[in-house]
Amino acid sequence: MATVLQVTDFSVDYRTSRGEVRALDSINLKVEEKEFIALVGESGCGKTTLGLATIGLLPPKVAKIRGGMISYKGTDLTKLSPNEARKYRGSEIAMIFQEPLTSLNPLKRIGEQIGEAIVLRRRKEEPGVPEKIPRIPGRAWKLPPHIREQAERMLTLVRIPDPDHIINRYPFELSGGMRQRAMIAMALSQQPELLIADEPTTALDVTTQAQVLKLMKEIKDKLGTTIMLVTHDLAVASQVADRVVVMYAGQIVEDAEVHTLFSNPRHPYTRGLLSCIPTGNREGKQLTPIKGTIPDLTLRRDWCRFNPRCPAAMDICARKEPKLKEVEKDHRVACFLYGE
Amino acid sequence: MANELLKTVDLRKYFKSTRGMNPLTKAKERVIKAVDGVSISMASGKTLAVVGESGCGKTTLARTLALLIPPTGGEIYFDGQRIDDGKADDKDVYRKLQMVFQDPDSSLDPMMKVGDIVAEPLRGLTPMKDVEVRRSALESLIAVGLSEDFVERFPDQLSGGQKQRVAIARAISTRPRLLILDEPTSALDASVQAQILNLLVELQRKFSLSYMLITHNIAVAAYLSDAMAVMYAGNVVEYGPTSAVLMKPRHPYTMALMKSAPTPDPWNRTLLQIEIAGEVPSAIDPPSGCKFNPRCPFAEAICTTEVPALSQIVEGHTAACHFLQKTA
Repeated sequence: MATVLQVTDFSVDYRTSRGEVRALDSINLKVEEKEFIALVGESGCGKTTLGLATIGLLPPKVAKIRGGMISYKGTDLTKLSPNEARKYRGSEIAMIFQEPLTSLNPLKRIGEQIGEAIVLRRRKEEPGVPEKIPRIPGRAWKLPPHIREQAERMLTLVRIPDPDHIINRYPFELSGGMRQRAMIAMALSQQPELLIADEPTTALDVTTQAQVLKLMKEIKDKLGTTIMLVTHDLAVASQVADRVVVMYAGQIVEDAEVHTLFSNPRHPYTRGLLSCIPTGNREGKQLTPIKGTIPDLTLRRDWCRFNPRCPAAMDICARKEPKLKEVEKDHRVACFLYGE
Repeated sequence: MANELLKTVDLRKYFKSTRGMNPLTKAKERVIKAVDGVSISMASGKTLAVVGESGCGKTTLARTLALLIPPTGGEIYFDGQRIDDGKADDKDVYRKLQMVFQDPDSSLDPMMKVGDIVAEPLRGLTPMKDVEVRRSALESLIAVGLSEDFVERFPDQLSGGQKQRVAIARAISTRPRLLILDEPTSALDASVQAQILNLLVELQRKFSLSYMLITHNIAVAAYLSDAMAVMYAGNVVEYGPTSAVLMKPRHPYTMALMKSAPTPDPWNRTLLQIEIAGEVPSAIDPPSGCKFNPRCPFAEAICTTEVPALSQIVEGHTAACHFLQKTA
């Protein structure tokens, strides 16, 4: 298996009114080809920032890369000029977001938006193709047949019923689940190697969520797309991902194959998160919430960030910062419980 | 039902949609049947979970029951008396029936101090003197795990979990019998959700509260409830003891819903096995007959013409489907 993405000692600061916040702190992560990986953690843990950094969409005035690199098939994405970065964005790495209504253009029909992506893809193969979708004279709006046919194929791929009808619709005319599928169709029409999905189903109903997640899994199997799913929901991750990466306060605390993570969680934070998920009935067992709250990231720490909330904290945890290291094959944990 | 606390008979709530309507002729005025004939009952001291997806009418049901909006038809009985006909003493009903909303950011007044927020129902609904009000409000704050320090704070000085605790403290301040909880943990992170769930269990025991829990989260419903009502497009399609609805669902929609609900179990990926297609239908123009028929794997001709009634499977467990023998 080839490595698609390699993140090395990557750190990002956000400038806020209360000072600099370390949003990502020395992230080390490797994503293999055709892997379905889930980034999991609570709000503010940095999972979305990592996704945005990978596709080069960090807010430019607020975010500052403090070191490290994100290497996509050997190219350091953080060193690219804006123009070079554009060549990767969309065609190599694509991203879909939580609320499709805010990421789709409300004034363009679905077909036209997917058409744009298809044209961009063709330009990559034949540089002579014009950037704009060619207009058919005399018609207010009509896609050229070859683009239309391909757009319909993409919509069929994401299981949108009646694609030749949907192609002429505006985003507001579609339901939430349909919009998210249209987003996925658009992202896939450039045939990216890596698809980053940031909470793609959080705004959807559970039956729709199940359909969209199943679709993502099918896409990975059928097209061999590598998928990075950002989610707050461990249960969702357990249902679809091959590998789960747990983040806390800007750091990766655990990284394991999905079955290993759920049968043998090592980091106290992962264990805490798992015991927070209600299973069964209240008569059976009380939930054990993680005590305390997420730390204030404006304060620099060189000790374990989970230490104040950790039920297994030791002396060393308040003095040193644990490094992420392999405790067994394909299972990395950042915790002193497993040696220094 | 023994010690029945709340009962509805054929409760309906319709909204008029004027979108695209001709204002003079009222042509194209349409009716949205948000709650369309719901008859449920719940026992005192227990938790009834109402589950369903967005647009199924669960929040409208909650608001109608809390008398926040008047029903279009049907009857609501609470604590032995009818409360929807305008004859009941509103203050008495509100004192005994309180509501907790999903988003504490919008349900707490940002200009009021926490102490006043929690005291407000006491001031408005009870004849208590100010000294008693303060003491009682403080008791409620302590009961939800907050301290006296919070009395002088404003909501924006609190974390999400603390805000929801304040909302719960306000709801229990009049020592009600029934709390209607509308998605009480949906806006919270996992670790905070667990804290609030534990708190709800503790308060129920301490004050012998009854809960009506409105949620789309099956795991939360399963954890807190004794009985479960599954709603689809304005109707209850299945009702029964939580364990029966979870383990032996009989309505095809409930079956799909239970499979779609993600469980933290990578060995049992039920979510990837779902067969259901499509989404919840529009409430303006629902399908004829059984509203689930376009998405149902068992649908036959009768399902498009006749509305199935709730029929009993075993004592206390009912489902509204023409083909219950197929789903056994």
